[in-house]
Order: sequence, then C-alpha cells, then structure tokens
Amino acid sequence: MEGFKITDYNKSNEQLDFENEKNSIDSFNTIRAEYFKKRIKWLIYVLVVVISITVHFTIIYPVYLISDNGIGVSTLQPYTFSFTINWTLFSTGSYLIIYFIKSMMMRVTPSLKQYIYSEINNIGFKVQEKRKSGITFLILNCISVLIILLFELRVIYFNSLLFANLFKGILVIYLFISLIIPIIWRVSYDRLSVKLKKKYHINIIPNYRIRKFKNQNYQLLGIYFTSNRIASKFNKNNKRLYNKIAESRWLPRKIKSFISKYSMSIFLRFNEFSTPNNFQKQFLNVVLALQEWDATISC
Amino acid sequence: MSLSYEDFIKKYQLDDFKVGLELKGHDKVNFYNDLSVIMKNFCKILDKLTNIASLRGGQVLMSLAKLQAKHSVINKTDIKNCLNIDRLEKLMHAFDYLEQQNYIIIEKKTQKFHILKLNKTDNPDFKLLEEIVEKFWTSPEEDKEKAQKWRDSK
Repeated sequence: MEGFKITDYNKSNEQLDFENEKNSIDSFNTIRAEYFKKRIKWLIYVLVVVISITVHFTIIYPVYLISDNGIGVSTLQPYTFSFTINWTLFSTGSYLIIYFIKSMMMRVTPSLKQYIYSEINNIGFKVQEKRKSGITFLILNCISVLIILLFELRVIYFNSLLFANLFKGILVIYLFISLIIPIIWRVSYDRLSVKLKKKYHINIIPNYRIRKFKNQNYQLLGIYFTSNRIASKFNKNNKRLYNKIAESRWLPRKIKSFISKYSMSIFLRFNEFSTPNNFQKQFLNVVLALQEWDATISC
Repeated sequence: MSLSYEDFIKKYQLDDFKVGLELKGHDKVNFYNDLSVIMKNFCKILDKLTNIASLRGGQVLMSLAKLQAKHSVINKTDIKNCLNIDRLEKLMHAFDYLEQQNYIIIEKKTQKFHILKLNKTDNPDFKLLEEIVEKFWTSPEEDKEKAQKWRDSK
C-alpha cells in the first residue's frame, strides 16, 4: 500500500467545497468576495434611491408655478396630483431603502445559496426564499395610492367637515400601516426557509466573520437553524416537553450572536448550529425534534 | 433522562460488595432499561463527537459497524448511502485515513468494487462498537427516511 496521502479533491469554480482545508479556505474566500460585491451593489441602489428622493423633495417639488396677479403679489401653486406623486415616491423610496439595507446585511451569497439548496435537496427537502414583504407592500401601497388619487380627483368627497376630518384621520393611520407592515415583514420574515409540514418550518441563517483579523485565522462558516414558534414559554407542560426534547437531542436552548432576538421571544423554538461538515445531520436533528414534538402534542 | 455511570453504580450498589445483587421482576427490567439508557447516551456522544471532526472517519466507522451487523458485503457506495453523502469523493480522505490507521480493511475486488470491513482483529473494541451502534445509532439515511415519512404523513 502507498503511504498515506490526502489527494486534493477537485471542485468546480461555482461550487463550494469544504472537504479539505485548501478547498474550505477557497470556498470561504469566494463567499466573502461575493458578499462584498453584493454589499457594494445594494449600497449603490440605496444611494440611487436616497438621491432620487432628496432631489425630488428639495429641487423638483419646490418649483411652484408662480403667477403674478397683476398687483405684484405672487401665489404658489403645486402641480396636479402632487400628494399622490409625493406619497408614491416617499413610500416606495422608504420601502426600497429598507429592502436594500436588509439585502445588504443578509449574509446569503449566490454560491452559499446554491450550496444550501443542494444540501437540503440531498435530504429530500426544498428551500424556499421568503419574499412576502414585496407583495404585501405592492397590495397595501396600490390601495393607498388609489385612495389618495380618488381623493385628489374629488371622487371621494365629503360635504360634512366632521366626516372629511374623520376620513383624513383614518387615511393617515392607513398610510402609516401600509408602510410599516411591509418594512417589519422585510426585516423579520424574509429569509431562507424549509417548509416541513403545514404547521412547521425551519429558517436557515448563515453566519460568518466578514472582516479578516491579523492575529486570527477565523474561517468558520456557521449556519443556524431555527424552527417556527412551537409554543409559549409560559405553558409549563410545553416547556417541560421542549426541554426534554432539546436535552435529548443536544439542541442549544439559548442562541448567541445576531439571532439572539429569538431568545428574547416569549415563544419556544428549536435551534441548532451547524458547519458545512455536519449541515445535513444537524438539520435532520431539528426536523426530528419537531417530529417528536408533533407526535407528543398530537397524542 | 440522562443517567451517569456513577449514578448507575450507586443506584444498584454495584461497588458495595457487602450487598448482594439480586434482580427480580421490575428490578431486572429497570436495570436493563438503565443500562440501555447509558449505552444509548454513550452512542449519542459518539455520534456528536464524530460530527465535530472535519474528517468523516468517525462517521464512516459508525456506518460500517451498523451495516456490518446486517450485511456480509459492504462497499464504499453503501457507506456513502448510509451517511447520505452526495458524492463518494467526499469520503475518500476518510477511507484513506482509516485504512492507514488499520481501523478498516479494504479488499479491492475490481478497480471500482472495494469491500470494506472493520478490522476487529487489530481492534477488538470494535465488537462493542458494533453492538452499541447496531442497537442505538440511527444513520443519516434512517433519519432522512424518518423525517420524510413524517413530512408526507397527514
């Protein structure tokens, strides 16, 4: 027999590979390079939106039609449908800024996404990329724009001052909600997720160190799994069952780092941390914990 | 519930030679169950530890022990399927390492068909590993099937 020799495993350029040290470092550098590229792209988009809104509200909008009434007094008159146009620009701009910033912060890169998709496919599940905030924003904002437009066209018109004021009040509340809901949705819920059953899904959150430190060679790619809310923390029976399952499967009950907001929650979730070497195993660990939970709760 | 080795010794007074050990009826069942719990937890520890190391050698050993208890002939693809690994190349380093360490024996029948065996002659402890793994370890393939079955159930 030949002496012990670790041969390099050839990987294609598009695929990430963590099977040996060299390929792992290459893959990690690819992810990091993609992340910076992605960050610059989203930053440019943010700047374009910010500049467009600023230009509109500081330069274009204040250009009123100045008319002289013949006795030297100028009157200011905004252009038609100004409220509709202003609201459309403001709401779309605000949503896009949040959308782009969130995209910038998310550590999912194209090759990492491909890696996660293929690993999950290999165990017979399918990853979904949740982007419900966009649809929510479109529906809510279209309704608000339509209402404002009808109001400006005087299709919606009230003779009574009381009703007019009431309508304006409700409209302001609706405008606020129509903007804030998609933003909250984007910040909290748009992510990679695997749907298991009607009531159960698992979120996938990659995490890795972006900056290189001189003294540290920190190349760990971590991937967090968090299940959906399974029960309230205040239900003692559920808490006991949760602890039992988490304990028997070595599932961490407190999670660190950037997803710590989950630990502040009043709901119980199963959490797990994996690296590329045990990705499938750890994922199945959470799935089977949920299966155990489901089987016990259903009894 | 987790039961430590010390708790087990204390519970049945195994270190007290003045007290005789008599196991009848429920006591015997409890003793057997407690021993199973210890073995199961030990197997879980093995499983977790083998998943921490970057080389998949530990997992290959466990899957080989599991398969060997059921089948007489095991090849590299069986191990790959048991561990639910998508490409055989991902296990090559582990096979090389385990063979080098004399933990496994690889019989090359043809260029592509290689039969694997645990080297129990040089490592008699593998008999215990085989017994524990066969009884208590669930392979990734079994976990996958269980998870899919649950997903597809109503």
